[in-house]
Amino acid sequence: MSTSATSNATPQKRQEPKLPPSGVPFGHLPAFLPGSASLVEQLDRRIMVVLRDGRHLVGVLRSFDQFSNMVLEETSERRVLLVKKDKETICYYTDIQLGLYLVRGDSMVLLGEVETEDTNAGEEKEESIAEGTEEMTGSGLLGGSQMVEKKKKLMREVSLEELEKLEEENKKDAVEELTWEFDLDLVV
Amino acid sequence: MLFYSFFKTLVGKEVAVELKNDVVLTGTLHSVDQYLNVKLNNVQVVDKHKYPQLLALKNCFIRGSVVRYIQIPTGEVDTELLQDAARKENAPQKAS
Repeated sequence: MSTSATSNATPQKRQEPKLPPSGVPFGHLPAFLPGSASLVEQLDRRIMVVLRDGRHLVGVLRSFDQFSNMVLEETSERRVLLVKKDKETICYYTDIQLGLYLVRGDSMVLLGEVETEDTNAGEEKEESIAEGTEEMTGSGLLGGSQMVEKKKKLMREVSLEELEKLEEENKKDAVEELTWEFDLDLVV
Repeated sequence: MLFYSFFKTLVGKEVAVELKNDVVLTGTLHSVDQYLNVKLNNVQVVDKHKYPQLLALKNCFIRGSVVRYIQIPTGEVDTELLQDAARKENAPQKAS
């Protein structure tokens, strides 16, 4: 997404660009303007970033810039596998540790805050997912048409090897395809 | 800047954002910026069984470049006003 600064009335060379009192250069909107979307509020929080190739990265947002380039600390790639067994839908996930990452802004699709996993991951997640599902049905955006039987969606953390095994096993079953790929139009 | 101003008037309303990868997210519009990046509160994924990864997210930031559509409730938009604004926005360009 190419952005160019709006036309600057005062022609100034690089030597000493005079900043207006707000401290923000001409042509830029300050990030803290109320009503303007900014990642400032997500700083130092654990976020999940979805990339164009479908990967999900989880990490602590340390910094960002106007292109949404971001520095993520303690990044892990979260791989998820949805398995339907009888009446239960189990969500297996694994976190692959990656470390300190700089993510280029144009590969970012969306990001959102995830709760910090301080306590016991398994039980907490089950509760929060069940609550989450209830909240969603209650919010009534879709007018109660989402009165799905409260399928307790379980999220279980597994190791990478276990996840890959499960993927192989479940290839045969009709598991819904999770298509996150963005750049399919570029594929011949 | 026209649509930036337009979306600013819609802050607080329920919108559905359809992305270029066909994922649809619904939520309350929290804020928007000059690139039409959008922040949604109380976000839900339509068809959440297909996209379980996003189940844990309550609010999200969506990069403007990946949005295909933003669906807005019809009652919230004064189309006449929008048309006038669009004309004004484009008029000076013709003059010059």
